[in-house]
Amino acid sequence: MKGLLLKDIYMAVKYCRVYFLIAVVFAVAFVWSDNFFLAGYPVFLVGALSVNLLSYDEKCKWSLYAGTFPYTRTQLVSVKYIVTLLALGLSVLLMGLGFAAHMLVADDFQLSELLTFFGLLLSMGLASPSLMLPVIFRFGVEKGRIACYGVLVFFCAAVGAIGAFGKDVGALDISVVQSAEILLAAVLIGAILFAGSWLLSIRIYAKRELS
Amino acid sequence: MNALEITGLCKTYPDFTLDNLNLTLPSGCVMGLVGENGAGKSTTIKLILNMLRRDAGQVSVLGMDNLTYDRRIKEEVGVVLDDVGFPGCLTSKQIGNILRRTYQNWSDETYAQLLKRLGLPTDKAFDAFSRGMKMKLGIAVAMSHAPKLLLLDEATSGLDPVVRDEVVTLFGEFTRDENHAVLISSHIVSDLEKICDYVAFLHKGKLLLCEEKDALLEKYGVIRCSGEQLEAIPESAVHGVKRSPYGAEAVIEREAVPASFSVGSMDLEQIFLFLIREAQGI
Repeated sequence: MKGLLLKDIYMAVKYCRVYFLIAVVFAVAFVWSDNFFLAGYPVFLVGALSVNLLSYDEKCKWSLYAGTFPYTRTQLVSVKYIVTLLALGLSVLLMGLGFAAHMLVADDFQLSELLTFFGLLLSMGLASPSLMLPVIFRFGVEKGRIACYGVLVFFCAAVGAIGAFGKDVGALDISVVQSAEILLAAVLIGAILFAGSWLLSIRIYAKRELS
Repeated sequence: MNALEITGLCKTYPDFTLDNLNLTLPSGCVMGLVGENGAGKSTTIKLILNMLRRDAGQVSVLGMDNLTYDRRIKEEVGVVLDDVGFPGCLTSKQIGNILRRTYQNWSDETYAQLLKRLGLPTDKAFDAFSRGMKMKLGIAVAMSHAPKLLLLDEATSGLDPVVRDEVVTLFGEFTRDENHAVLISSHIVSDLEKICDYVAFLHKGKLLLCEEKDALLEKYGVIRCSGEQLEAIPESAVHGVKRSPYGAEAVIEREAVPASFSVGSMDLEQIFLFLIREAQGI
């Protein structure tokens, strides 16, 4: 499993570093902006990192070749979910730092808002890979791409909806979800969705023929 | 102990069936799996590795059932597929780092020696490798974790004759240890002739024959004669005939041919071609 993880880290550093660059730029821009999109978009992108890695795997036929190594199908699936969690954690942390700086600049730092922000981003970030990965594991990257477009549309609508709760569409106002119950529910739903997706992908991939 | 035992293996696709395959590869031996494209060679190797789900049959690798002991078997088996599928951005060094964390018996020393022997750079991206270099890296990887069995699917195709010879020598050295065995599929029959102890001919998913190479070469011969002379040979001993206005060329079983005939020797490729023609009724 460590070998698989290392391989994906090598690939992410080589092929996906631009995502992290975008995350850094957006996090910095977010310090002086109220637009929630600046925080949400990089998290969405990084959440889709595993889908991109799977795409490279398929292109170079690693998906097939990996079947010759002493890894279980469960491990081959799980590594993508673990990479997603690592990347997501990193990007959410980065955006959280941006938001904390944003509040400090505005001289209005509130820990509860920061925690809410973390919860919101995390639940959103978990949603997109949860929806995309099982489809990719079932149909492969080419056919599964349609599902990714669907998730992208869903994500944009979700960001728009969150913004719409605020004073202006797209403006940052997360006070509406500062109720601990709602926040907890959002994070729980994200976590359950992610865990369900993980189990579903393992089941799907166990039946898949590597040819 | 047998390195590989396949019993009644079946796999059906809409347009292809691997039909009741039975093979036994003793330890210390090399078996060549010969067949034209689409004969079922890759399907057989993928079924051994559980990459495909079989419809029927049993596979035992190094005395272990391949469904029950999938991971243990893969620890003991080195595999080279016709496409070595490492991500293009990785260097040989990085691949070594990954596989050190993959195989329990991985040897950095063996890997470094093989890279050096096969003339492979450690810091060049896999994408920049030629097809031959990629194949050589696949071979180095397959042999660096002390495997007992090598499964090689078209591992010599795409290599130039010099490299092919080098690689074939490497496989020969590997089987000097009597606990080692190799199953190698190829349609370059001349490579197999150099190293194989056993030869299995596959045609359209069916095993035409599986015999010791030397016995096979001893058993079959070729005669060139007239049509009338050919009639004198029992039909069951004739395994393929090519007729021309100048006479007939036939593959025969030496034992069944009268001593008056001059029987020429054949190589594996000729035997293979005649057997395919016979199977096709040509």
